[in-house]
Amino acid sequence: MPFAVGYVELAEDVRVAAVLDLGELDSLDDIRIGMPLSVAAGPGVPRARPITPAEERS
Amino acid sequence: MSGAEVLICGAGRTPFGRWSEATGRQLAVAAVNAALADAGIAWSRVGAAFGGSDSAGLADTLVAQLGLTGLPFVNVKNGCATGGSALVSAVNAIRSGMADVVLAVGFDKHPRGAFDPRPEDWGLGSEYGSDGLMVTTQFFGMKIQRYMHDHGITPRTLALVAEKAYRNGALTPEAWRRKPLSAQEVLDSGMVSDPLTRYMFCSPGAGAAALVLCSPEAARALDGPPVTLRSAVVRTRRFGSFEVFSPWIPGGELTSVSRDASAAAFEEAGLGPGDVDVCQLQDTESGAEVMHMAECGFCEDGEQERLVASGATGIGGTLPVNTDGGCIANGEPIGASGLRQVYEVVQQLRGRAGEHQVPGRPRVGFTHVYGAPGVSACTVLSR
Repeated sequence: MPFAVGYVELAEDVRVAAVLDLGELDSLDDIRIGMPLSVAAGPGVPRARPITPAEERS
Repeated sequence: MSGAEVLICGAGRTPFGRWSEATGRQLAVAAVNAALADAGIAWSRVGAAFGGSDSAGLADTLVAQLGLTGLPFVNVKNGCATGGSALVSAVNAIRSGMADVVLAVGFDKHPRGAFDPRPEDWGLGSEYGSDGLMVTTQFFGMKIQRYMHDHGITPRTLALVAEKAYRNGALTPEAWRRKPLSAQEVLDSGMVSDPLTRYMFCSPGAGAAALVLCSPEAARALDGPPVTLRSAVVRTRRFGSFEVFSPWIPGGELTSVSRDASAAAFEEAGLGPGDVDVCQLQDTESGAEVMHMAECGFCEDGEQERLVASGATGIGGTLPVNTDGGCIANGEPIGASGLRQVYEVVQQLRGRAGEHQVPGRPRVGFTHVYGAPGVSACTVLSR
């Protein structure tokens, strides 16, 4: 099963390796370099997901 | 190179691939004997030796087959720079006066399939394995993905690099992959780690390469045409480099160990990338060759799109790259690859590369190896 990984650049000037979950995206092909993401620590490696325009404004 | 001149008077290699039941050590003995025959000397003339493999045994045990002459034989294990590190050690042995004829040998034999590193061996938690982040192809895919985004490189350029590798491999008797493949076949071969497809990657394999190095005085007693080793350099990564299995990297401009090693090699040689007539660049996959063209100073970032399409990196081009098919066509026996590169450039500078000989009698060559976890070895050679 294909999955996405990448480095998420944080405001603290560090890039963290993370599995990229699709969130509201339809396809892995919709993932783009530079897209806004939120990243969370939890069990396992960091996981990131695209944030919605509303989340980006808030 | 600062210090005494060092000459390569003998070079040998075995075929690479998975063609043989021979052990890595047996392949190493074959490569050493080929290098000795090329130099026209017996094993007893060798005054010191340096060599190693990543996973095929200890090099110093080769004396059981080569001869128990009592020479100092130092094992080298330095990942993808094993061959390059053995070569630097051999150079220093000659420059220090330790011996006037020195051997460098690299060999390996890996099982089928991709490498399968364990997270604990890299200082990482087991979750990096269970969550799918201990896959080397991801690193290569991410690195070239970003590079293509920043510098306008297209997937077709990656495919053309592989097409050239298989074309050159078809002309090289010792190469593993000897069937030409078109760029379209490369693009259609199945996605592995976007944008890299199956046939854009090299495969772990088996093989060995060896070099006989001499002082100028020792070389004068031999018949063959020597090649001058102008510099041999090994470097490790500085802070800020992007390497495989990095859980984080700093923001801002990244450093490059390949840029550091190549610049040091050219400085020591007193030459520059513009002087090079034929070169070998680490091509673990197509994107690596593209990026290393710029990191080693042969072009600006993004120029590869035009250069590769124009045929400049082909055997008849202005900068022939990986004339023996590189890692993509030869496979990657880790301990042997660096010396395989030097072997190929030695043959090119001697005019003995057969069907894959660069026309116009090349005078200066360059080799570059890069690997985990951020190590690079470079040489500059001339005739």
